[in-house]
Amino acid sequence: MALKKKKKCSNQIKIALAGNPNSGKTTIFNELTGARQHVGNWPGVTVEKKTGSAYYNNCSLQVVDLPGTYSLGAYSEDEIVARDFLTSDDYDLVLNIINSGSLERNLYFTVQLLEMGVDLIAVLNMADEARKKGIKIDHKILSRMLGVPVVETVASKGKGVENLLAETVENQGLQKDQLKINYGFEIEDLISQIISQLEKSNIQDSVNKRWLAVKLIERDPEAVKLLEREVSKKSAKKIKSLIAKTELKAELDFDSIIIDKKYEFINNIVRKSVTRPAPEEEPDNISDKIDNVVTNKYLGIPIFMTVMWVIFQLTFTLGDPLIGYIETFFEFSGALIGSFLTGFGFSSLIVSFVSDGIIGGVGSVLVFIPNIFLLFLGIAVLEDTGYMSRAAYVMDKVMSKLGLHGKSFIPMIIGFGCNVPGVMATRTLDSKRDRIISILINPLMSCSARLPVYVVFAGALFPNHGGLVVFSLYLMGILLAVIMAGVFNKFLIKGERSHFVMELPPYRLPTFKGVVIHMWEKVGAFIKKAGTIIFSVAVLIWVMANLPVGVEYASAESLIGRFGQLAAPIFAPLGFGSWQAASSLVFGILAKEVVVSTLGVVYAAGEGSLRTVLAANFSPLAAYSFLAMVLIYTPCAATLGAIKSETQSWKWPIISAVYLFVLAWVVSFIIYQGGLLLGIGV
Amino acid sequence: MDKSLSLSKSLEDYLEVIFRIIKAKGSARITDIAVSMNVAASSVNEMVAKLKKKELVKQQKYGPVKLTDRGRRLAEKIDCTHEIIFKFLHELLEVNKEIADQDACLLEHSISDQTLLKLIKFLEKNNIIDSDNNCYIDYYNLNLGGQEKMKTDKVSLSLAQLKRGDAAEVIKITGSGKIKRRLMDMGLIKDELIEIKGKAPMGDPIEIKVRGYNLTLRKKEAEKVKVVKK
Repeated sequence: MALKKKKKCSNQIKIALAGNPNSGKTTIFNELTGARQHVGNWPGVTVEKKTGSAYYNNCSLQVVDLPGTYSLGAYSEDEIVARDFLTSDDYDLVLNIINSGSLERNLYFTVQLLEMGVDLIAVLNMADEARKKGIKIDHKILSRMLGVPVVETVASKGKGVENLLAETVENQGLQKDQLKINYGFEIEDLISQIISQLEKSNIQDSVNKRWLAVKLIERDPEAVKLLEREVSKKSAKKIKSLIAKTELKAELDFDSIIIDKKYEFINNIVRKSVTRPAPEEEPDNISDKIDNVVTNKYLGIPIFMTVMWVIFQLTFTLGDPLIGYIETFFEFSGALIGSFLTGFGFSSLIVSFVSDGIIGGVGSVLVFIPNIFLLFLGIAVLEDTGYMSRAAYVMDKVMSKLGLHGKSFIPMIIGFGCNVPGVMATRTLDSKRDRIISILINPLMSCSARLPVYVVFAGALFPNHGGLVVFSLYLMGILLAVIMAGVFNKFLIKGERSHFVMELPPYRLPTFKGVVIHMWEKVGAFIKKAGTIIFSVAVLIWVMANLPVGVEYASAESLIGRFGQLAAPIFAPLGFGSWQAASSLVFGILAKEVVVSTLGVVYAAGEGSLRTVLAANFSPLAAYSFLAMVLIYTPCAATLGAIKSETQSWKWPIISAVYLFVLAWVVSFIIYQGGLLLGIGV
Repeated sequence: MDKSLSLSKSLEDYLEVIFRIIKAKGSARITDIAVSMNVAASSVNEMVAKLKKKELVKQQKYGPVKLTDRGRRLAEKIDCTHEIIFKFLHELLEVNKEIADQDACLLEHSISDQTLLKLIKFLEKNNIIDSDNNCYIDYYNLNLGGQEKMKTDKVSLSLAQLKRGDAAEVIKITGSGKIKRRLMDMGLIKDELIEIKGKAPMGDPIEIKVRGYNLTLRKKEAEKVKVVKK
């Protein structure tokens, strides 16, 4: 290493990491950048964009982690994002991360990069795994045949990363010829005709013409768009009809031939550079053995349920005491700062604003952190070990009946704990359509914050059937979720139904660093993004509870009390038309458990007497109708905030707030009026 | 189609009607056929006798008319041809429904295999034919030229029909659009060897080994992968 001549870096070197999912791309990214990371979104889409920086020999490197994809088609948003970046020229070098254990498939991506004319280093990662499998790769031959430098790494152990940095600095700005695969006489002839047409139509020099021609022959929709942008309508039409005519004459589909030829090219490289052990000498495949149990016909589902139960327990049993501490801390500091400010002679309004509004509001956000932290620890472990794909595989049949993907099950389970991480867990879904549907039905999973409301009412009005009442509410939520998934699927959400074509990566031990970084990203994102909206809602509600000036906090005369009075008639047909019930629902939007404390305030009752007051003010039927309302209506501010940040749009939080309110009203109406007709619980 | 199977236009029509009635009702009685063709029951009997002679249908005395395997295959082909021509006329050329249906009835008997094949390709390209609902797929496979045909004759199956532990070689991916592209991107291409590793607890999706890694896919997608068993 020391012998290598040191290149000077005048500018920052921009590098991008590209490769298949499960090739260890993220691990390399973490190794290169450490804690110097920034997570955001690619402009206009919800695909995660990770950037970071690295230093080597006085050279500063900026690293972009592209989404992991198998191909550079237009199959998913991920593929389009990766491709747009790679055609943009906004980088100096690409590190193509390759899983050495499955070179045959990984090189398909490499070949596509080379065809685009991308300057890259082929990084043979997970070299230890390949060695264990008895696979030997001749780097020299591979490097010569691909025409690019080859570097070996074991990123999970930090091996080879230093060397990779050295090669990166060494190879920056090295221009290579674009790889040309011979697609056979028929297609090559068509390619040259298209290129000459493109040249005639004065297309910009920066556009890679051969690549565009091949993509056009493959009928890639993004390439067609590019063509229509770059050349005149007449020329675009001419080129399109040229392709259509030629292909109609041909025996086989051109797109199939193009893929076949790419694989043929790869097979040839692999044959020459890779030696595999004879089948009988192949070591035992441990992953396959684990899968024989984990995805077993009889054990698969019980194992999945157990894993989910463990994660759930971990998140909520371990998290709830921590939540208690945080709550106590905020109550304490609210009171402390309150009395401190009062001591300095600030008016009671300002004191209340600071202690109830700001500290209370911020506190309502931060109490979720232990849950989110633990939950994403669990998810990170599941993802990094490879179990997540197995869970999706095992559950897919059930979920596909709802028009969803196997992976959609996990957010739903998590939603029972808290809808905020439930909504955030939809990140694991690839298709935007699946994500939106999963997000929209998630609030119907009865979260733990709703339980206190159920318990208070069940104790007050259903002393003998409390368990049954609570259970029926959970069940109602699940049934409504199933129905609504069906409805959204059919009528609302457009877009192609997702396909289930998914790799099961080999099981791996997660690295501590990887899991911690993974977890920190989610928690940080939650605090930053969801925090702002929850905070604003908290302040808004505080203001409404204190205006007009001089009223008692949250009394009938305050704005919120008046709003409650105004809204009460809406709830009258549902059996709870009092302003107290209506105001408690308004406050419930802040957080569902607040319904109980608000009822305590507005009925001026303490912990014990609340049950007596409720029993006096609600009939059992009205109480059940109210509980259905609490279950279904508008999600809490934190959930709405999470929906906003996950969908990158105000559209979906607004839709879910409105549809859930309407659905709640309809269900409560049916329960109450139906109950009246049948004379139950009046 | 070989000569022994060539039928008169009216016999083909009868076969098609019987096929459709069976598809809709489960069984076809002489009276059903008569009503549907708008002819007397006696003429139906006469035609059914002719079809029986050609071993395309079977019928117990006074019982419902059933199709033999050969009869079903032929009927499926005619029905499919009808659908393709109908779609071409109605959905692409925007001929109105009744006329398109009538014309399809006339054309289905005389169209050549080659023209039909090109028509299928053309409709696929224009997204008129839904790749999930593809009566023409099997027919399409039977008409592939040369080497492909030999392999197809060696009992082509879809990936979804294989059992755990089976090894097979991919012949082609049927259908079109994104999903075909995706399957090929994942390495399911012509001549590739695959092995069925197992099935999910509820029998779907399935897990296979291809190009040295494990891939899972739903049966619906696996049906698009045509293979021959090794």
